[in-house]
Order: sequence, then structure tokens, then C-alpha cells
Amino acid sequence: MTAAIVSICVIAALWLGASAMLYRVMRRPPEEFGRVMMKIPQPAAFLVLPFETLWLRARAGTLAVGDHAPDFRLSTIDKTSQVRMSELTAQAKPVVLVFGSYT
Amino acid sequence: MPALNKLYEEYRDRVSFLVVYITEAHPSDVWQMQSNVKDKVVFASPRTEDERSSLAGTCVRKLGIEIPAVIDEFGNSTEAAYTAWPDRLYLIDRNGSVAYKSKPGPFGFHPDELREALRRVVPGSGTSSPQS
Repeated sequence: MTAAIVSICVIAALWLGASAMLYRVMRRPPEEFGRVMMKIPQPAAFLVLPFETLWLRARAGTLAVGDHAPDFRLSTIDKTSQVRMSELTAQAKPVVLVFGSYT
Repeated sequence: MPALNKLYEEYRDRVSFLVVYITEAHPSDVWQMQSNVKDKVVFASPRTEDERSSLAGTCVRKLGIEIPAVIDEFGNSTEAAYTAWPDRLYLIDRNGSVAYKSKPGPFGFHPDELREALRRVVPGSGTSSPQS
């Protein structure tokens, strides 16, 4: 009986520890996070750990609805011109931003 | 992406659209995904600005992105400011404030939510809520 309780406690502690570590890694810059994920057995880790819940929290970010959108000035793909966020908003039109990559 | 191209076509007169190409989610040297291998979307992390813009160009062409696109600089400062990786949607209102922020992708990337937000922010938009 005691052995059963002890093993349940050990498993729970391991699970919590692993979840906490994963959460911390998720908050690191993308490349660092990716390099850690490479070494984690998948999909086992996704099945055992609450990946999505941790991810949504870890990557929630600091910007909130109502905050001023941070300015940026970035080159277009063909590098012929630059786009500045504050110039877009100065046109008094809403702006949709789509962030993403290929892979 | 087709859903976003469609929104772009619907709203481009009243709303500015911008794709920001950010650091790759699953490059072959960092965290390769089997689904990408199957689709032959296999690319190593770009090591220079030129490599990054060339991959961004491939991305825009292959995914058929019609929205104007820019490239985050090598330090990923814009990605960091918006916590944008691996993908995320924002709607900024005409005063420059965040009106809608999606949850982080891939789980939180839902163009339908963006459509709802556009209906709220852009007056008289959408076919289901006709202008009175």
C-alpha cells in the first residue's frame, strides 16, 4: 500500500518537474526551444505532457488588447523598399499582421 | 493561407495587410517535422540575410501568399516584440492599438477569429451584418 502511494507521488513529481522544464524551455527564443525539442522523444512527450496548455501560456506574450502596437521597419521580400508599421497606422486604416514562416 | 488571401481580397480597400516572415518553425537542422519531409518542405535555417530573404521569397511563392510581405531582421526583434513565433495573427485598429491578438500558433492560428475581429473593427463589413 505504502509502496503504491510512494510510486504515485514519484510519478506525479516527475510529471510536474518535466512540465515545469518544458514550460521554461518554451519561453526561450525559438531556436533554443527547437534544439531542445529535437532531443525529446516524440510523440510520447506530447501524449504524456500537457503540451498545448503549456504552450498557450508560455507563448502568451506581453502585448494585450488595447496596447499600442510596437513599431518596426522591415524590408520587403524583394528588398526594393521598406515598410514601417507607424506609417501604416498613420493612414488611419486598421492593419492586419500575419506572422509566419514556411516550415 | 487561402482563408487569409480571401480576407485580403475582401478587406484590402479598407484595411492594410502585411505578412511578416519570421524565423522558421521547423528547419531541417533544428526541429524537423515528418509532415514537412512528406510535403518536401525541407530547408535548413538561413545563415545570412540573403539566405533568409531567398527562403522568404520561396515561402511566399509556394504558399501562394497574395498579401504584401516583409522579412523580420536577423535579430528577430519584431518576432520578439509581438511574441509571434511560430505563427500568429494580429489586428491593429486605426489608432494603432491592438484590437485582436490570436493565441500562439499552431494551436491558436484561426483566420475565422480574425474575420470576426474585422467585422467588429471595420464598420459595415461582412455580408451577414449589412450596413444599416
